[in-house]
Amino acid sequence: MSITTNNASSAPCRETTDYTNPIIHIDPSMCTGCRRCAGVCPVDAIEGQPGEPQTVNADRCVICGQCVQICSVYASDWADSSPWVADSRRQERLRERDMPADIGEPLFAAYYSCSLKKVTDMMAKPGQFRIVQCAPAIRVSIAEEFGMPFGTLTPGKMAAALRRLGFDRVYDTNFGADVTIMEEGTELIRRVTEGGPLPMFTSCCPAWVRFAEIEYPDLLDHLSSCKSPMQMLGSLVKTYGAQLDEVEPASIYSVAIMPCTCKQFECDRPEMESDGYRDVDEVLTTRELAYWIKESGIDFMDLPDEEFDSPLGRYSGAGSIFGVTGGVMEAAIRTGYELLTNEKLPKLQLDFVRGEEGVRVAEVQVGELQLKVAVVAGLQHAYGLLDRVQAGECDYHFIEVMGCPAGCISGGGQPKLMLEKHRIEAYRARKSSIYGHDAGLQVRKSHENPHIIKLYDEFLGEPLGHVSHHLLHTTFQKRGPGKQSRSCNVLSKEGTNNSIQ
Amino acid sequence: MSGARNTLNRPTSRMGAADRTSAVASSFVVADAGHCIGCKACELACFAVHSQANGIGASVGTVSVPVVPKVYVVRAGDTYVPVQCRHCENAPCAHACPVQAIRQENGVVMIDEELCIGCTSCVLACPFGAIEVSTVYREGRAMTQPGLTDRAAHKPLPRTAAGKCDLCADTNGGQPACVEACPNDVLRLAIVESDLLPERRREVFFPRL
Ligand code: SF4
Ligand code: SF4
Ligand code: SF4
Ligand code: SF4
Repeated sequence: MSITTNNASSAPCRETTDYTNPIIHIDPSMCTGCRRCAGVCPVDAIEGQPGEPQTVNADRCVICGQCVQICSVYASDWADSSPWVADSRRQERLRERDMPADIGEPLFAAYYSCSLKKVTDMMAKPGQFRIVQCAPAIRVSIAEEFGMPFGTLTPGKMAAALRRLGFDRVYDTNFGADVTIMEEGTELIRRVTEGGPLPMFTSCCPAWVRFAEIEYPDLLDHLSSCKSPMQMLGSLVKTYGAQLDEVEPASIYSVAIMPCTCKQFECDRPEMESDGYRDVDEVLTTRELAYWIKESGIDFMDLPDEEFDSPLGRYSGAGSIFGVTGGVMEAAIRTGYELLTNEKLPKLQLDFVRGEEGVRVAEVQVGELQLKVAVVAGLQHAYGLLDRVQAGECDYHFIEVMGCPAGCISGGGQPKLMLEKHRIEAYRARKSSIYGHDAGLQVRKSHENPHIIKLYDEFLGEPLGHVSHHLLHTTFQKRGPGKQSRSCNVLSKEGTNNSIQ
Repeated sequence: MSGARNTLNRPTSRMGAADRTSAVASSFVVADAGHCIGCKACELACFAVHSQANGIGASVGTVSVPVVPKVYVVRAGDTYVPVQCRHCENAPCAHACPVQAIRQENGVVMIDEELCIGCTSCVLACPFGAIEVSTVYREGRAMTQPGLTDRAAHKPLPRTAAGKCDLCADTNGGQPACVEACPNDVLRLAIVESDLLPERRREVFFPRL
């Protein structure tokens, strides 16, 4: 990674110019300046001297939340003041972070803004049709917040919990993932056959999209125009879903439970609306959902297994593997292969995309076409590949990029681990749990999901058609002059290498 | 994952978990102050492995009690250093304890929480400030001290006890949690046999000198 250092413009650039409510924060009264966060930040957005409190450069930060995951400096109020003072300081911090007052967990120097209060306030308002969707990576991690082993699979309990919390419909982002495959797969086929900008990049990870907008704005037309599965499902909820339930789109309050700290930023983007309605109104992370469940006194592990609601909650195995690195690629190949060749895919499990390296490449014979694909996990690994695309030296067709080290299962909003040595173990367990979930499902290809077939028959028409274009596709924006913007004096990376590679 | 491979900690015939039970060895965790970055990962790890009685799992979301570790990272000017029990051979804390709650087992100085009356004599006696008296929690709740009430509030007061590094006596082998967790190889378990020559002792304590 080459870093242009230009001291002339190295003034601290911590003003937020393009998102007004920063999501990632460092509490200066707690930060010890150990800079472990800087060691995992893929874009050098953490600035400051070692031993001094650090700041997040909001213009550069892609909101992946990896700094929040690694920070181990907690408030040790109990140790150094009277219990009463300690408690009032803790309450003050909880208020500052918008966290529920009765949460018992330790507070760390690096944190993200909590949206739970906003959601519970809205839930209390009468006359609303409350809808929730849940990302693929939550069902393999949320049980960890209740003391269960890494990777415990609990889709049924999660659906039950969300119903107890007052949602009228419990839908699933996995359905959105199936729609994404239909749209993105078709877009890829069209670009390959009609000569669109190649390689085509996935666009489901908002941290990656923001990264491209900041660091490589000249490559934005290489990104698929697809919205993320969360946004796709969000816009379907207020259109197709509203029609099926015979409710007014205006009365729908739509919440998404995500493993990712950047999803709130994505749902707030001005482009993410259809016909004047926000696709998704609010996002909660895995940890925030766990706070909510605990606050409501629900005994999570004791809940019965319940089904997601139909049709926007019925998914294929392909939709469920979006939660791991390589999953989007595998899901896309399962569908793309069959749509292009009209033949059955000989083997469903595509091991060549399931590795753990930062960049993995493979070639797949799809009919006549020798499809060249790459999978990137962790944005720090994206620079080299993108530089090659910029130089016109990259002849891949399709590239999946996920911002976090092991995909969404390692997202910034996922359960935070106390011991660093557990990280690999947790990621592996969540990953194998997701693959196990896929293997156990009857329908494992997006285009064979009967509810997807019905959605296209009844509502969307065809992939990339007029309705799809209006509801499911989007545009991106330049957020800077590109890599030259990396002119703030970047301290050398120190501390640990915490990627799982 | 973490580059926390502690090169100083490679078990040798003299160092390592298996040897810690040998009666002649006295061991404690030494810190290389100049390298500590103040990340408190050692504190968090220490707390995590000592909190099984409170149902605490791997994720911070399972924590419902205050984090009270047995190692404290302190700052002096520009330097951070973790401080913990030295497992003194003639432990002054044990001399000071009026109820014999402190004892030595296989070179490890231990405090029996059940016997401890929270009198803080040991806290005063410890030359390193390695002992902290704090509320005792079980199953996520503060234990109360029978017979001790806050008159004004008519509430029973919490039961407190002294706590300090026990070299992770309960973790069945392996390195102490703090040593394992430190991303900067600051901590290391030094094992000294009492019949060791002075020069060899110095090597065990200060291998980088
Ligand atoms: S890891 Fe936490 S304490 Fe360390 S520098 Fe980053 S924010 Fe500060
Ligand atoms: S959220 Fe991600 S990009 Fe932003 S400062 Fe933290 S690690 Fe860096
Ligand atoms: S050796 Fe164990 S008990 Fe002692 S400070 Fe380290 S983690 Fe805590
Ligand atoms: S884990 Fe290591 S570097 Fe971090 S505070 Fe403890 S001794 Fe210092």
